[in-house]
Amino acid sequence: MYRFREGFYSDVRMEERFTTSIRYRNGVLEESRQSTVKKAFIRVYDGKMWYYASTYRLSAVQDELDKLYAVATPDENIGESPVVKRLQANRETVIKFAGKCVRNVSIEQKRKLLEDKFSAAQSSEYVRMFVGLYSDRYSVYEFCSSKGADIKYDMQLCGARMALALADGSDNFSDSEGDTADSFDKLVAQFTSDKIKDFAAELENFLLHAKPVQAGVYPVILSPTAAGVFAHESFGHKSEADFMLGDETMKREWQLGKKVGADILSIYDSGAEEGSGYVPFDDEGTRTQKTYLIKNGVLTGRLHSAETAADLEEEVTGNARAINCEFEPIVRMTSTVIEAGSTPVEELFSRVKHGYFIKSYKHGSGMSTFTIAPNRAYEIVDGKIGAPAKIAVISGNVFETLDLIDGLSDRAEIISSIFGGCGKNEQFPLNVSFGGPYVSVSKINVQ
Amino acid sequence: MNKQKIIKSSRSYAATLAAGEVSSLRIKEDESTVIRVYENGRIGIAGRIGGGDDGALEAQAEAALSQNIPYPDGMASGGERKIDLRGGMIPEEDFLGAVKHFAARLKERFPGFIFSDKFIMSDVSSSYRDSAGTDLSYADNAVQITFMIKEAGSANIFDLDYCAERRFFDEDAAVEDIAKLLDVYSVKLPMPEEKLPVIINTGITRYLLSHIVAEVYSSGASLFSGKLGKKLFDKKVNMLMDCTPGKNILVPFFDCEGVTLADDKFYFVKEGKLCGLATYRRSAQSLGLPLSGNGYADFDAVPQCGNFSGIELSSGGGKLSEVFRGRAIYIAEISGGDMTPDGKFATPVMLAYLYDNGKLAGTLPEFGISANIYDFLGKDLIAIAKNDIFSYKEEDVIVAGFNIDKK
Repeated sequence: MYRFREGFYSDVRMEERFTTSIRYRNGVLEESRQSTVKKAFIRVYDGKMWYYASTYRLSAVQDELDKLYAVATPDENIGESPVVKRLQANRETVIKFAGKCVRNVSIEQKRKLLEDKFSAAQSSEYVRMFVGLYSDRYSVYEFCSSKGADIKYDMQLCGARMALALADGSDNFSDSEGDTADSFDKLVAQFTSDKIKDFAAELENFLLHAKPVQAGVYPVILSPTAAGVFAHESFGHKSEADFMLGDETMKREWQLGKKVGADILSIYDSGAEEGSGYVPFDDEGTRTQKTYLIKNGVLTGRLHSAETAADLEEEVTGNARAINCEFEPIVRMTSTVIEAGSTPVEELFSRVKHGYFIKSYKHGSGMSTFTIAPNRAYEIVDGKIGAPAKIAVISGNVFETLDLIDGLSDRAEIISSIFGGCGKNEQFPLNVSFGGPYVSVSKINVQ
Repeated sequence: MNKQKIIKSSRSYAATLAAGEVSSLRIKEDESTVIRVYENGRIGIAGRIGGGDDGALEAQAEAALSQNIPYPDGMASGGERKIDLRGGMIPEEDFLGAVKHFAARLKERFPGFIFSDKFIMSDVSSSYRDSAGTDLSYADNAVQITFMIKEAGSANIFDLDYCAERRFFDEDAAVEDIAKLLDVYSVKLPMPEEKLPVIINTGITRYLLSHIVAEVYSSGASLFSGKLGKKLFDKKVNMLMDCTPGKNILVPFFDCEGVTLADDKFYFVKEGKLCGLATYRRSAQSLGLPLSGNGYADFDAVPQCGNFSGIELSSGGGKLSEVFRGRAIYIAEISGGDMTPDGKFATPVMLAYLYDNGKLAGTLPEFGISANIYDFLGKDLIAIAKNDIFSYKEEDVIVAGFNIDKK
């Protein structure tokens, strides 16, 4: 154990991360590697400032701790600090994935999962390039603190994806389709040749028939994937309480109980959902929980680290997360989801005379204006999905759009991905998941 | 058996600003070593974090040949070149004090704004050696400021940013830069009636990068497929990989395969004409193209095309105030824009200023911009220039006509 000094709060987080990465381009193997990396992140808090060190020298953790103590200033009342009071001292081991660990699946099986899809990837005559990717990660975290926390837990993800580039003369279109699961068996069941064949056919339709849009304001229906991005970008980031630090005006104006969206809208964040947002404890040892951000259109909660919870005199939510042991935990989402409504999907579409359906996306963002750059989008004409549409970006004012949600389908889906993730400040990518039902918005800018 | 050995190390001091005050200090160090071996058209790789036994690492790399990953056996061109650009940094023991002083000054000078995020001081080194006798090394250091700035009371996560990366820290110059943005922030101007040119960071051309990747181009899936050797844009447009030592901060003059460039430059677009594609050793060999120095690899990964850090849309050194006179719209913050497969670029603009003869005059209401890439780099291009509004922050900008989509 470490020698934690009096007068400070200190913790040590370690991660042993096993990863596999396989890539084929046009059926030729380009990458096939497995590696294990173990690093540590050390924190010392003296009541005024945090002092951090990141190291790969695991035998030198005590030295690093001692160096941080040397630059910090001890406070004999550190235990009374509102930040320290909020830090939990959980003592628990939560090993869920050891029995189905991707480390125990041979690399040949992982390669075969991709190789079996080569034929489906080439099922359209317009496919000019196909790239198959497999990625997995099994991490074991250990966390201990001067308050007595002693936690060990694991997380696992594996995913496969096929990216297709199609061309017809000077026209081109590219997109990717894939699955992510928390065990290899589940991934094998999800990532099928039929799915890739259907995907190739859809892209062919796009390539040959997609029409440019006339920029304007239209009714839009978001798929569960697009709705998830919307929830994450439009409101999730605004729920991360670190953006309110030191801003008394914001604290007054952003009080819980404020009406911020349509009555039918509820959004929550939870670390307990299966998939890429799963994490039983955050990176300062707090147990994760389900936190409603919006309930029936009313601001109900926000996401906290111990520092932000103390500043706002609220409770921790288990959302202090770091992408790895090179960085300090900051307030981040886990799995952010719009709750399902009660309208059948067909009815949502039937209400739209002329609008657009956003099926897949390339990226999204959320400041005062949220944006989603769609990849596959379709025109909706007289309540039915029509021709594919070339849309660069859809956007809207966050709060106006939250109020313009006029329909939610009756089933939500949560989308996980090991490829990419959420970026904030210098930390990218963080595994998160998001989702929702089909979401109807009466007005969104389409460009 | 040919071999390559690449060592990278870094050390950084990072201070976080929260609510305008320094809330943390982070000290980070990293070191990685990778050995690649080549035999019978295959590659074997082994990587290690931290120090250790190179013999054991080489044995692991040789064992990895059994993965049967095809890869051309090409070493770098040989020769020795060592570049060390380090110097001019804040002494480590003074770092925290310097950032606290800077933060306090910002808080006093701009009381209506809240600063957050990072002030980082980094020291990096990279070396590449191979069995052809190539021996390359690079060392550099820099201060990286990435400040998110929020007007007190704003509902936004942040309203604007100030990012600068230099090999020295000049607090006065940085404060002066920020003053140019914030002193006129509350001067709210109406959207000009007349159509004004737009001044925007050359970074928006990043959407072109995937289209100049040789593998994408040759597949026919690039916007530019079939246009190699043809004129795409205005003759003022030069897009190149410029690895001149000192030009790119914290970026070595060689890629992950030890590839260096003649005169340290490789042109993708020269005087508007598409003249080169982004390659690494595998794609260069399979497609019969020259190496462009774009090989990239995580520490233990097979190289692929991805080292785009040195690619720039060259301004040719011209200053904005010299090449453009008059009024324009300066785009300070965009978010989430993208380009359709046929080259239409569109993005919402979060923050824009009215630019008036070298100065920022005030902020404009939110709007969107759109244009086809062939137009804003073609008939509607006015200039590509160094933005001399700022003195510490370095930025190249495009001045061009865009469609303004008012809200």
